[in-house]
Amino acid sequence: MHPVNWIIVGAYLCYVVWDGLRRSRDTDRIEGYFLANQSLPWWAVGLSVMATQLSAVTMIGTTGQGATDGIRFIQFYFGLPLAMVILGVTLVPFLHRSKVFTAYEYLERRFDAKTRSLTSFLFLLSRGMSCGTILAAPAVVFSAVFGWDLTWSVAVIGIPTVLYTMFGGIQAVAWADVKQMILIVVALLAVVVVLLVKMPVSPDDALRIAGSTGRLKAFDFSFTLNETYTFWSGVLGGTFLMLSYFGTDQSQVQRYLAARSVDEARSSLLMSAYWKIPLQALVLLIGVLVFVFYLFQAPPLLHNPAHEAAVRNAQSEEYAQLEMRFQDAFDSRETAARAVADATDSAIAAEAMDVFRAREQDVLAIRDEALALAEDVSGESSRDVNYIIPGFALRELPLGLTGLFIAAIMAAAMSSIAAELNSLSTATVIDFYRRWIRPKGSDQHFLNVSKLATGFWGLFACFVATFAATLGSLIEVVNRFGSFFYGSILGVFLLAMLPGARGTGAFLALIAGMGAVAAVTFGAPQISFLWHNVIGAVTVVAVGYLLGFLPTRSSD
Amino acid sequence: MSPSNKHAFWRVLLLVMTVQLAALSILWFLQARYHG
Repeated sequence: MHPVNWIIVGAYLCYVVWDGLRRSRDTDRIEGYFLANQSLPWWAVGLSVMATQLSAVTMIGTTGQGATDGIRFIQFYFGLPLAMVILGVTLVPFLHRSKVFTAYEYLERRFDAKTRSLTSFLFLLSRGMSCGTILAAPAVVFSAVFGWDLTWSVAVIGIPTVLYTMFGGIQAVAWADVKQMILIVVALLAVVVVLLVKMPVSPDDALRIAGSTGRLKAFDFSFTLNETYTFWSGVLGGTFLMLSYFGTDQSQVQRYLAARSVDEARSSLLMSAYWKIPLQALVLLIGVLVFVFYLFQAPPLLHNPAHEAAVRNAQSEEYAQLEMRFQDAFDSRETAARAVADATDSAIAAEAMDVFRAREQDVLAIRDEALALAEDVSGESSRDVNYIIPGFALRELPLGLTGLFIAAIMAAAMSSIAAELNSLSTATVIDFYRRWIRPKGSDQHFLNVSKLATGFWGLFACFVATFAATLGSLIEVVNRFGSFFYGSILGVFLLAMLPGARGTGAFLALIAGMGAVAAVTFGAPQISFLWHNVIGAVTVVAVGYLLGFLPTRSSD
Repeated sequence: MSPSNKHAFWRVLLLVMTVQLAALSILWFLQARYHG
């Protein structure tokens, strides 16, 4: 990468740490550290929630998914607006008025200490692990693209984030998020402009070519439990997932607990919904445009440069032959794509699209051969969706913009990790340290413990990230692991709103909910994970409510 | 937004829903015009 681009990346990293440390002056009390003295304006809270949501996985994974699979992933978010309305009128005013630090603290008031501790523990477990994988995703890509050692990649993103989160608290995290969000949106829009300028066909023709491969199918109304992204799994399963995530996950709840009033808390929550579908659609469409761009300009056969170098070394002759065949197939596909763009009437266009689709299959078949070869040589998964966009940014973006885009990927990773670290620290200190170890102590003492907890979770995340990369499929394992809990945790909060439910019933119901999800995961693995959230939540509410009718001891 | 404005939430909600519907309409249009 050109030195100018490195200067931009370096300047961004220095600014984020400096700004975070500067804000640490305002956080000499625990309310300031965790809740920003409930002083954040609604738009800052909203942008902050959005930045948390838009992780590096979105920047590199979702764009890559758009390029290879099209925009159908957008259906995942169809439940979001509905979930926001439900939360705005139910849980948000409830939690904000109860003046709690963590969502789980409320559970002790409503049920008992064991339900609070178990729920908070599940949060720490799943979020602690996922924080590591959020860090691992861009670190792995950077180490392959820039040839860095993985530990170095993890450190470049992880250490600045830990520093500003540890010393600045939520105030620093939220204000850093606001700037990071602006940087991300500017970088994404710049990529769109570059794509449109460099594309040899008109936007209308580009979309027609993309549409002929099925990449513009945003709505799939088929009702099948096996397909992950359909309209129905998005609206039903997605609503439960979003309710659980935005309503009960401390990393999100903490944001609206920090708002000045209930009304501002609700508005800030809506702000994140406001941008979510348009922004995800933009990210996916960028991927689709990159796909079309690479129809007219030959992409590398393997997008992961580390794998490409390894295969070139180990199987140079076979790889050279594959590259020659790929070039021929690419040329034929380019001719077919131009024929689609030039078609003057619908009959000719339909015929041209058939030819184009056949040529596309030829290219995909050669790519599959190359990926299989990379898997043989490297001994690890050769899936290279995450490398498409970083590679595009390095090769095709003009000077300066490449640095901006790499900084935006870092910003996306950092904003998500910072929010997770702050919420992990909050839950550790409030739900465990202050609840079980040292209930009484000075503000300064709890503040110091909070900073230590943030540092601990930061190191834990870096440690997990280093291992997540070498284990390959761990990211998928952690995602599945998280979906064990989400529905069940939501179920406990829903149960809290029912008048008949009681402590022990809620505790047992939480275990039953996770058991039900485990049974479905292992017994019927074909059922898409979005449905696990519905199953977990419904089981917890049903079991907890029924147990509420059983005769209990007076302590319950 | 002033905390004293009781209708603020519903106004923001209306805005959010309008934006979502607009985004979905664009996606619908893209699918109807270009898919296949």
